[in-house]
Amino acid sequence: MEVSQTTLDGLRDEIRGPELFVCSAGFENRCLAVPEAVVGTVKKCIMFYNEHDVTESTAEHLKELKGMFSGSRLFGLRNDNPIYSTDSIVRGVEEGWSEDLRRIVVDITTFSRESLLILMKYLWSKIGAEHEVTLLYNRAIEYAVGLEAPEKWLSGGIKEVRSILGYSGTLLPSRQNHLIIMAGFESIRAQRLVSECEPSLVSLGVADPSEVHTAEHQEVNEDHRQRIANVSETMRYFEFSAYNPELTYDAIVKQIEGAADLNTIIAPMNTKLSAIGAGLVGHRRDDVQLCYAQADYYNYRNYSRGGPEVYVVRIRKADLRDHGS
Amino acid sequence: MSSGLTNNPFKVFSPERMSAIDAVDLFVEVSEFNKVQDQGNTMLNGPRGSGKSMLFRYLMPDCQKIARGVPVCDLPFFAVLVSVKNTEPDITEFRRLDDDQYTKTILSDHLLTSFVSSKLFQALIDAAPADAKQPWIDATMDFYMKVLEQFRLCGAKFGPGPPLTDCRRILKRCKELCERSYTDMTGYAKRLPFGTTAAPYDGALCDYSTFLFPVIESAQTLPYLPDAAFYLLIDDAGYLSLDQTKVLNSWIATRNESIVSIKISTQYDYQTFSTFSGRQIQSPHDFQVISIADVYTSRNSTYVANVTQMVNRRLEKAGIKVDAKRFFPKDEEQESRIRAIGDDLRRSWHQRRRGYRPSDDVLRYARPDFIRSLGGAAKSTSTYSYAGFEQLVHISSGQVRYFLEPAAVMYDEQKATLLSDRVAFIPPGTQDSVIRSEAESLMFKDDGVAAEVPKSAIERLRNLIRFLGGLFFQKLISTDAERRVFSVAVSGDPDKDVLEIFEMGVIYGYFHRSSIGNKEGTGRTRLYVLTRRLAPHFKLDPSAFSGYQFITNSRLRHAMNAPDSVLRRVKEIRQSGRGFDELAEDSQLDLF
Repeated sequence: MEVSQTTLDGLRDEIRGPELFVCSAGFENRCLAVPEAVVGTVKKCIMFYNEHDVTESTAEHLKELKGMFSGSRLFGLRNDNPIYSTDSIVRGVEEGWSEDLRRIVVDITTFSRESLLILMKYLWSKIGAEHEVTLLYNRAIEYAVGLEAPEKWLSGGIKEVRSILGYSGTLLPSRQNHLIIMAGFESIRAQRLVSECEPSLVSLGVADPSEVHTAEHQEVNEDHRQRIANVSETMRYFEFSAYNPELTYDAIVKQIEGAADLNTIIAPMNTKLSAIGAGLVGHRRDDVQLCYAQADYYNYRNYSRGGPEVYVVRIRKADLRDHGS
Repeated sequence: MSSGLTNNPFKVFSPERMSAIDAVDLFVEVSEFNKVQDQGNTMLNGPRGSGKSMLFRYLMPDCQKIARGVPVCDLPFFAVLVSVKNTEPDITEFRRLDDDQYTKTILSDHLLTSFVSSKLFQALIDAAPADAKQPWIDATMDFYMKVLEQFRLCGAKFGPGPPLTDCRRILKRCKELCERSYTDMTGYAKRLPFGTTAAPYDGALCDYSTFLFPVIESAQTLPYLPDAAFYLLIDDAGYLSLDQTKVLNSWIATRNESIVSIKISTQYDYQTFSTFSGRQIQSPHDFQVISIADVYTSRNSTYVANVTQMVNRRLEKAGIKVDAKRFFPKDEEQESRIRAIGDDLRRSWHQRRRGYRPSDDVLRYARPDFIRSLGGAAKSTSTYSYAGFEQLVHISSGQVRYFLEPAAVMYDEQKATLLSDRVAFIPPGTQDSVIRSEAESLMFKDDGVAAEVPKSAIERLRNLIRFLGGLFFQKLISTDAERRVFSVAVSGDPDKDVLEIFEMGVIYGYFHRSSIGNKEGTGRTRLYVLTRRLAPHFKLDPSAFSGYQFITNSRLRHAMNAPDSVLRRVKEIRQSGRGFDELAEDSQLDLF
């Protein structure tokens, strides 16, 4: 697995004309950044959008994306119905798939974490040694734009906590649960998750502040970590990479190995790239469950502001095997 | 856990992970306890933190043998705790079978049966003697053969395995087979994420009547277990999927309570009372219902006494040699001023004669009069101190957790202030500031939503709470006979959408639900009690006994959309001295 960084301006050279481009139209402006940078180089495009909750901005973004990629196919997802979303994802990928397909590029920036992980599971199970899946992530330079650190919020409430399709794990009834939270700015969702799962152990992870781009969010990360820390009696802390899935994977596995006699449930709530790291854990270890806490509402108006940087992650079939195998 | 209590005597521990000795030491018997421990199916409803899990923990054999001083085999029942957490045993993949209800029913039954059976076998392992004599080992082997036979009837192909000569090991093998049967099914789920065309399921299909019930019947004959009813304590059953809930209901409907009594706890979120065959289970025919929240709203509440006992035990266990009232002292200056007002009321009782006795007037009016004397402006009334053990207990609104959590924060703050682990009491100022901060955080949690979702149910709920808090404050500082009000009932027929907002408030812990006789005297109507945790935010007197206010459905609907305009009128009513009865009559609707 290769992880590199480029800018929106340098992206065309980096991805060299993908045969299949997969993107998502959302309420964030960031959903346009990568498509705008690669438009004209893409042979075939499939795009997804959340039809369960189409805001005015989502509709505008959808229109713009369809204008950029003529002939693209559109598939609806539903935040409240993972089966519906999964079937859409399967249809979308099958639509874009062809015998001679080799290079697939996915703009993961604005997928929900649940849809993203389901998409990854399907792609990872489908690709062969000849394929390369490239993930692009346009980094946000600010979340909850304009709000002061203690007031920053991205979403609120929990409608439902559910296992993510394809990552159900094996939770033995006789074992206690170990909940690994990869915390971000959504402390209320994380608190509710702890109170609903009542795990016997919580590993609370925060993005590694030594990473170049994490430091700028550190004050908010720390504030939210403190809020979650108050809700469980047995809590331990760890740091993970927010931008390198393989390093994220290593950090999570270390937590799992430290509590080998417990069922493991992972709640990825930080960046999409760290969610990919959690997905790798679930893919490589089928005893681990990934869960998703569906929010009641989002900070539609001020969710995030994109920057010029793009992370590029290249994954091949061989990368999906465990390090040891 | 005891070391945790030494560190902070108010720390909240999950009862499931509490040692039996700690659980017995800290458990305080509530009046409903006998109803729960009696044979029969029971549904125990209460908000999070009201003590349901603690009650279930206390019923477990390790606690009961300590509490009763008898061996497990002499207990009057054998309880198995089945704690249901979110994400288990519900797996999203099974939703793919939503269109195939028959298959889904069978799989749900198997999954729940295996899940509960695994907990049962663990409870048997915990109860089995480590150094059993041969007849007991033989009896356990007979039980094992019976378990294997039931597995065979359910389609499993498990062999007897190598011979075992230890009760616990034999029972452990039962558990392992059960878990294998459980993971066979979850393994099948893993083949379902991207469609139902995967290879069919070919493992065991266990259900209650073919597996769990006969296994429990057989377990009753084990010499180290009581020949008495087994209680299945299903904690937080609201987390079960709809199908699993229907499965559980079909177990309840069998009503073999002398052999298996099913006791369910919920946070008012039980999904259905229907079984798969469409039959409804009903109370009291199939089960009895106990509501823990009603305990506090009734006049016969023993809640204050129960919390006092519990806090005294925690303090003692932490080595602190003062009682609860001394540990959480009142603001003495405030109390002496309230006493002075009380003395005036007592002296003037003969002229006013509002209550039957002078002490009635003192109890009902001294504190409200004091709060009024602080002035109507927000800044002045905020000087009212919410310190003192009893006030803190009242503010916790019948949920022990809401006493313990802020108390733990107060304790930590005091430790930090003193730079010492030896905290002898919590100063009134610390109590007051922590409890106010809790109220503010409850009132404003998830704030920022209203602007994003203007007409949402959340905003309507928040408006309703703002209106009721404001109304209760106006009542408190009025000259009405009944000033301390924390409850509201709808006069006439409430609309479905108005009730839905109240019910959402119950789920989120802003209201308790109770009932009173309706205004027309023709039956009963719902009563919603605002949580006293918000008393500091609205500057209300949290003392236990308080009245209620009838309000029309249309006024409540109006208040959910425009609380400030309705509150302005309420203030005018208070200033005019007309009394608040008109809030209960539709004829005055034009006022709003």
